[in-house]
Amino acid sequence: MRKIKEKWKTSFSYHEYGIACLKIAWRLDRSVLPVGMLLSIAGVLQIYLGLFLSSEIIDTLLREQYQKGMVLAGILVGTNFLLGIGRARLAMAQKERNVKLSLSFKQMLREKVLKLDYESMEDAKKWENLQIMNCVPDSREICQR
Amino acid sequence: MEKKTYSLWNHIRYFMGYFHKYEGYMIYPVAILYIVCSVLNSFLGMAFASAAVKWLTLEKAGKALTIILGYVLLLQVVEMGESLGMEKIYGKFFLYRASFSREFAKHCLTMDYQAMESVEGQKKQEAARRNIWSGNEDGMEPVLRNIPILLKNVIGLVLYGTLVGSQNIYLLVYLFVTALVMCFLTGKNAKRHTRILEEENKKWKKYSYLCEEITNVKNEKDIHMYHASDWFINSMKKLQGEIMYFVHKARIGYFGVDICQLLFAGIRDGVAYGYFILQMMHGNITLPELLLYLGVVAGFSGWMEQIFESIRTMMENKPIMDNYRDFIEFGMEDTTGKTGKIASGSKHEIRLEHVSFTYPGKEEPSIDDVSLTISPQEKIALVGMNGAGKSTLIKLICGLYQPQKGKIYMDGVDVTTIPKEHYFEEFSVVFQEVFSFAFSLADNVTCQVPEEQEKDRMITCLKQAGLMERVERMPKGLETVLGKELSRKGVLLSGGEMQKLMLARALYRNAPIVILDEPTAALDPIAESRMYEKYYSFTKDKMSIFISHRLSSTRFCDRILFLQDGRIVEEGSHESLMKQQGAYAEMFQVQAHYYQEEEVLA
Repeated sequence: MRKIKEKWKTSFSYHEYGIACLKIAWRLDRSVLPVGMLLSIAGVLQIYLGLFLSSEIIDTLLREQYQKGMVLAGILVGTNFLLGIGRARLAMAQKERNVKLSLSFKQMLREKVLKLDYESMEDAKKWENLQIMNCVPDSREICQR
Repeated sequence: MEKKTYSLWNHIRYFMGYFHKYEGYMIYPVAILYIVCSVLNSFLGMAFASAAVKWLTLEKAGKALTIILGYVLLLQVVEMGESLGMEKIYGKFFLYRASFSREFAKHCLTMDYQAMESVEGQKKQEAARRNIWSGNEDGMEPVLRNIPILLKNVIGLVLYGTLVGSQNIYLLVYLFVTALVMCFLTGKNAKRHTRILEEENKKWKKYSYLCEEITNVKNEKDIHMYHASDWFINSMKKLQGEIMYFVHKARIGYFGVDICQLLFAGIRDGVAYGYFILQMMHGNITLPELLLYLGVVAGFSGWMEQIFESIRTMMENKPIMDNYRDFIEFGMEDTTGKTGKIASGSKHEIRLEHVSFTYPGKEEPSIDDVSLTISPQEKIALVGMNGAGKSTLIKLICGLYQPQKGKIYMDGVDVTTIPKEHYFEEFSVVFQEVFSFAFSLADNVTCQVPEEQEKDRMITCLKQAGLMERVERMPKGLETVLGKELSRKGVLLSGGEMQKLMLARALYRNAPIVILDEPTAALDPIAESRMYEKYYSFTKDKMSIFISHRLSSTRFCDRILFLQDGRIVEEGSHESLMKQQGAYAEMFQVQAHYYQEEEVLA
């Protein structure tokens, strides 16, 4: 029972961190989350439409309505093309926003550092935190994704 | 020196070498298992779906069900094989990165100092560092990850291509032509990205510098006192804008490639649907066959897309890998012809013959035609104004720099022919910049791993340097960590204590030549004088070279060399130089007058 409780606690704390990160992301750039969501929706939509139109084509061909089948195939290809462009544009926007978000996050941390008074900066714990701050992965990591 | 670039194929071969080195021959059957299972996984789905539709259209549900069950079972086996191969191959990429990181660190520690210190060396190191420290999605890891993916996709492409070709050779030709066009476009875009990355890297370097300086506690006093916060933040914002400009520019290229790829895929799918529906209309193929072939064409597109994706990822990361390998091959010591031998640990004579040295990008030489012989056990002082060339001369004597003109000899042997590691062993040097590593005090004194440290010798050296008392008061004695960088309980040493630590390190080294490059610059004249007395007593039977701004500190030296504009303009003992009434005497008198005034004021 205790183990289950601990697992719940760990899981909850992960989610807590996740929500805190999302809040920071929202505060720094309000477009990051909507763009990410739109990208996911576009991906799901493309899959769904693909399946739907494919099944329609099979039904049509079973009924030997070849011309209608051709039209549906054209719609499928066109939809894939348009949604593909939309997804590529959204992916581009997301990648750029991710880099921007990472840069803004770094800046936010440093603005905080600059607001600290000198005495508290000399504190050993703060010193350690400042060292850790410089180990935050480079935004290039996100930029390359 | 121009930056080296490598082809993608060259990088793949380089990594295959790593695979082979760490995994041996066993990696090949595992890779084959992974590739075969991956290709089968994709093909089985289509083939079974087509078969199931065939039996369903014939209204034989039992057969269709058997086919579906068979598919599920076979799929499990194939997926197991794929997962096993994947785990064996991909699970170790992090370790490969760690080994690259080790290679990088080793190169930094062993490369030629002059190359390392140069602007070019610094730039190359900064660019290469990104390959190691930028996580799993950047640099070598994606390149490594994509090698088996690329192989899998190529094999899948060949298999599916054969099936497509058996139906319509023109369709296959079209698929290949579009693949080639896409390859060309991807390559062009990667080259464009490389050019953008060059510019972007410059901005990143500045940005990283700012980020680190802001969090450096040592800077905070000045930042607070001069209200420099706004300046820092504004500079960061400006750089962010500049970085984003390059990121956007690079992304536009990739977006363009995506559009071309989508356009070709659209045409291909349109043609495939049209062709196969017409074939069905004419009764040449059945519906299950149409489904199979459409699946094969779509699958073919999938393999191609994945190949492009793999190539694209690899090309995106190629410049980073280029930077890494360019740095790893930069500044390596040329060991050919290094057959010069010296008696290690014995007394030496050093001779400089018409030595000149000019820093890269400078016109005036820092050392200009200097000839000098230093005999064993001789005590030499190098004095002169700032920028006279004292430290440069020391770096030349130590072998850190190579003269552009003239030669340096140790016991008559040209030092360029002596392997660097042997030559360095003959020197105990204390440089201007005193600092400690955030390791234990024992590590700082010995610069050796704990198993090799001689504790008694270390304690003797610390006693001689006058630091042992302080060490005894430290919480963990010799094992106390210095600095706060790695341990909250780390101890910070004062300037004077740091000087003593450096002296202890030099004593522990026990080399026949001792060089002290203004190690006491931060001390007051009395503490400096005491420190020099210590140096003098410990270097009695050794060749020693001292650099000091305070001329009174070097009076005990056998010979004083007064440097001006990279040349030795006066030379002799303190007394003889004072008699000459030249530049040395003038400088000495000015300093003496200053200290006397200070004394009166005190």
